[in-house]
Amino acid sequence: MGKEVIISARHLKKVFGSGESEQVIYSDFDIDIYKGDFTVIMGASGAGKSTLMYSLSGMDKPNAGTITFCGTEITGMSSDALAVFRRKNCGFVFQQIYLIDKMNLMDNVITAGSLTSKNKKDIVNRANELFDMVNIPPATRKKLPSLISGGEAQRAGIVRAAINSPAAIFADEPTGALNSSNSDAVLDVFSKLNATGQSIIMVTHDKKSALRGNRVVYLKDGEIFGDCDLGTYSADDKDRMKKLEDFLAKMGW
Amino acid sequence: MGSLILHNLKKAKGQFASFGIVMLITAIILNTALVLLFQTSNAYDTLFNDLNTANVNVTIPYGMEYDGIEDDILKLDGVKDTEQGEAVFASAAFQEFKDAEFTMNTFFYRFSDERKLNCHEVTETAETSDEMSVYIPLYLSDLGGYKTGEPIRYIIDGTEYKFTVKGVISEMQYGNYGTGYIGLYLPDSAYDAIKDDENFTQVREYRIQTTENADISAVKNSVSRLFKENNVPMLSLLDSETAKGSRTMTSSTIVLFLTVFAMIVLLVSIFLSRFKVKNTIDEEINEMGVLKGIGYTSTMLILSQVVPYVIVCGVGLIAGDALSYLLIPVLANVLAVQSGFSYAPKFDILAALITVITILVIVFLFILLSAKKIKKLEPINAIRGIDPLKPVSKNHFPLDTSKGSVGFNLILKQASASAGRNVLLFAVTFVLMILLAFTCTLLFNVNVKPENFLTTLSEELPDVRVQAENGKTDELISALKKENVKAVKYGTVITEYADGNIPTIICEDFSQLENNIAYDGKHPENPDEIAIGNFFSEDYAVGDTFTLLIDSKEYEFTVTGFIQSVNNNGLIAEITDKGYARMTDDALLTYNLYLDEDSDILAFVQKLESDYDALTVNVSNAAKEAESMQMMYSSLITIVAAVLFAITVLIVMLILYVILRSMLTSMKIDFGIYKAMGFTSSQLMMRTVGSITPVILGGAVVSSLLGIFYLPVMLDGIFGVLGAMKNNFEIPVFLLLVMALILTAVNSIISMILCRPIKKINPYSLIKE
Repeated sequence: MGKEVIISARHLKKVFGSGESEQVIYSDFDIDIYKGDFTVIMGASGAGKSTLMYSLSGMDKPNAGTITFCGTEITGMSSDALAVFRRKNCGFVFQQIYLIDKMNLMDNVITAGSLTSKNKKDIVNRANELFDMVNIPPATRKKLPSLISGGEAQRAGIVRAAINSPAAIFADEPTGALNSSNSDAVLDVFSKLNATGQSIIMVTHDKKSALRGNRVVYLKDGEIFGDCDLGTYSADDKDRMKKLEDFLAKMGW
Repeated sequence: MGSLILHNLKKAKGQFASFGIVMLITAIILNTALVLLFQTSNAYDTLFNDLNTANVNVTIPYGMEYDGIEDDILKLDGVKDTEQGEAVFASAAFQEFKDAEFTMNTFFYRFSDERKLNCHEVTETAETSDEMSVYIPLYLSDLGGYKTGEPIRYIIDGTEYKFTVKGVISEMQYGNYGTGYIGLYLPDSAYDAIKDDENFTQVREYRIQTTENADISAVKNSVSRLFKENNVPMLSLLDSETAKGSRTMTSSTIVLFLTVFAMIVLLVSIFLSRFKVKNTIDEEINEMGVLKGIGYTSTMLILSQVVPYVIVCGVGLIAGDALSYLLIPVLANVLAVQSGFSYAPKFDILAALITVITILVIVFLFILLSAKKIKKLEPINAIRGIDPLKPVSKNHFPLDTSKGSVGFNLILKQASASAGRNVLLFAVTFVLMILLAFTCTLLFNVNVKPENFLTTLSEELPDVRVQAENGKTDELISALKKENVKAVKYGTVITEYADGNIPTIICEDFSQLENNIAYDGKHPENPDEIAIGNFFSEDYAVGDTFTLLIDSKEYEFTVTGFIQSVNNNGLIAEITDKGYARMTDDALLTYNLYLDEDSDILAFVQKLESDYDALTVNVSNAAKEAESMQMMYSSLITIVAAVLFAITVLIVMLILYVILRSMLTSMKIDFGIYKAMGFTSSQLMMRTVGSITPVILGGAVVSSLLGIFYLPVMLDGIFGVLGAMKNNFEIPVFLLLVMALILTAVNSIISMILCRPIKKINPYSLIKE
């Protein structure tokens, strides 16, 4: 039985600037993202990785083409309609984390949770479950983002992205600003979430991060230059890194 | 350095423009107040001197003078010159005075009389024949609505006199009824036609000019003593200082009001600039850290913040100063109607310097104080966004434990995020609501409860005034009883006191009156009791003896209390009709009539005139006069209220613009995050407006409720200056609360419009940035 497609993009075109300064990021671009996959998007700087990811998530609008997300075509939606769509279907994890700095971690999560549920008790329970899963203790949940480490903040960011059980979590270089141990902790959280069936789309430059994905899509010159199936992640899989490195070498990484 | 200042100016040009407009409004108001303050008095004095106006004027019944009276006057200390003239006097009921009847003590002079003192200047003439024509002062022309070439009618002792207005004159002694007298000038034929009419009293006038630096009040007392010692009864005794005080009173009140208004707007601008500077430092702390890091000194950074404000403030003030000269002539014209003399205001360098320099220095100092915080920023901490003076943020209203919905608590969170912003909004709304509450209270008391306003400015407001035919009083009273009309014997006569004439209210029973004008003590009840006006409040106390004179005979009365009067500067007294009977055999024949509430007053007046013509000499519709007076003030106050409301809304709009722009800038990333989560623009706009609305509502409601305390003080202060020591104004608390809600609603609508840039915030810009 084939995998279920949750996002399908067809003939996408994205252009920055106009006239002489026009820069085509991608043109006539097609991609399918599958349910339950941990899709990693890689490529050189300027390849359009983040641009593609934010187009697929409805955060940014392509200049042409269609994107169908969970059976709904989102390319023609208004900004507010896209916002409403994102509540239920998308969670975001950013490199700069972007927690609201005047709210403690719990409030950051509840704020997102309140968009899909009016039952505060349910939201708090779900938030606590997720905080437990990402190893943020109750006392830290009450702290402001400025008073915790980057790793803790990013894990809280993941909790916020997952609170509404979205169809897909989009992560843009989530370990880019973290040290090695914090990166591992964050990646572990992604792997745990993916193991529960959560679809994840992650943009990264980092091989260690890419290893967590079961599928690696490599972008080059506005096209999918390579698409590698790494299989389900396992920490014990010793050949996984080699497989990835071979793929990347082929891509000219 | 220059480029940094320019960069700061350009970066927040919208907010600087708002600040500049607020400063422009402040300058317009303050400069207008100062120009009027400096020039009205000077213009009055210039015209006073140009027309060689006498400092003391006495009138006596014709033929009561003695030989050598002028020489005796000239011998008095402080007298430089004197001149005698003649006139006729009558208490004339001007018809169609702003569509009503207005009774004034009127002197009719011969226009062609040679004068060296109290000269007049014709400012407007019409080509009409001299026969039964009249020159009237500006006061009657503008305020009464009598135009040149048009008729003017008065009724004196029941007889109608009709004249044509031949011209308008400028005159500095009897040109305004604030003194209790008005002067008209008649061409020879008209003067001769009324000179011997028995309804007029022929008078002789002595115009007295004092030496420079003479104490005019002392000269006036000497003159009064001289006349009394020689048994010469005085009809009127007026001095130029009293005349000036009463004629420039409205102007002084408006200057006071404008100055207070300008100070309030200035206070608001200072709050605003302080907030903006502090906010800028918060927003740009990293940039300042970098600049310090590359070698900019604290002083340079402070100046880069302060100088743009000083430039914008200076430009706003100078422009406001210039624009005020569009407003000043308009206001001077309005005041000319009230004061009875007009002048063309000129550019005033002193007013301009005070307006520009004072405000500029104040704004500079306040902004400098706010920007001094920059000194404390260490470069590396600033780059990291650490502000050593900023208190550690707190997580207000935790969403998991606070009561209420998450949405509601998110609004509270946003509301509590900036104490400075809340204080500013609360203070600004509070202060602006004071202006609105004051205006609203005035409007309420003038338009909704006009009796409050009228009873404050008048002595008594009956429905009808009637003068009985001599000897028919009892018949008239029994006829009125049959008509179920309450009649109270009431009238005003001119008696004398130590220093001259005094209008004296005579009444059979003051407790029967509907307007209690006693503000201290009580009305007289016995024949030997008297209540006196606020003019005497410093020299007399309750229980003192006050002496009235009629025909040079003295009658002592015990002071029972003080009464208020906006006419004649509070120079007034009241005694009972029995007290009046002690002094004279002349019977008081005038009555105040009070009809049932729903009665048709006009129909009753017509009935009195037709059915009881034989019993009455004169019947006047007092209610109609009051209504006309109310309409006169109503239109003026409504215009002032509308202008105040418009200015308030404009200031609110400018302040909200600055606050919301600062808020949107500082929360731009947060809004991006919220949008990424799935919040819609409308939700964020509603939340932002919702976060400031409670503060605005709080400021407006608290201010309107506290109006119970501050409004009486304001009203007492302003109307006290006018002579109304005890005003009858009601504070319409409910209406003020409605006004507070309207102000809040207007604020919310404006805020919603100003929040529209939230729509343009794209969550994707988070990543791109």
